[in-house]
Amino acid sequence: MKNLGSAKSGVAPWIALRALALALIPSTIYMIVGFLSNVVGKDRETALLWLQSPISAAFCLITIVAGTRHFALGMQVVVEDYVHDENIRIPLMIAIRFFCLLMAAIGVLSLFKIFAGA
Amino acid sequence: MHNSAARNKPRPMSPHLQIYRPQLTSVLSVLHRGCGMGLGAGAFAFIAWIAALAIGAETYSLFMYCAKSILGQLFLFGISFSFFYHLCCGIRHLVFDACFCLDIKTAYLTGYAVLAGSALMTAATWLKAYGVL
Repeated sequence: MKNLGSAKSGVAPWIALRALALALIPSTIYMIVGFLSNVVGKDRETALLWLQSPISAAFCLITIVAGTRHFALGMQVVVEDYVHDENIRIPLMIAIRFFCLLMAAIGVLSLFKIFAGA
Repeated sequence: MHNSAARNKPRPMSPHLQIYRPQLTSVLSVLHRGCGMGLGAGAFAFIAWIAALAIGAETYSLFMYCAKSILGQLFLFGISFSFFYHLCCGIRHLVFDACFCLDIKTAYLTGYAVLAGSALMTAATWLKAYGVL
């Protein structure tokens, strides 16, 4: 407790977490149904064709970008609630954000490669 | 008592989890956070699937070998339930944030609806994945 008053910047991530949640509702439903159907019973060619359709690719892109950001913001709330030691909290938050950025980068690049017809 | 020993004694902290009787609303709230954290692993699996698709046929068959193992299927089942639960409960929380349905009776009603809804959606997704539905 440093008694410095409010940081005056807490509202934007609170709103972003919920706005991203709204954006994720249609795209994640579409993606999880498609993902599980493909993983359970279809071959690679079918999966590639499915992701090459602009609708699937668009929902996939939104799921990757908005999903990793939503996860980072949600984890920030959890970490700020339960991890009180700054020596752990700050490196932990940096690690979570880096992990999310890495997942998003790999996901977007892979999706572009598939969409371009690899 | 203003001696230093009394001051250094840790103060009691709410909400006293040891003596706190769990009720539906608090359990659902904890579950929402837990499932949200678990979905990080789900996101990892999803990104791994897309990356494996992009890398090539050999990597994809390795991914499918893992996904189709019993452990992989259990993991995916858990992730799918976590997803639908986090989805339904997330919508419920968005409604709460907009200041609707905040009375206790409605909170319990929507709570049970979320549990039933996520179980149904998980079952429907797996039946569709296996071509039954």
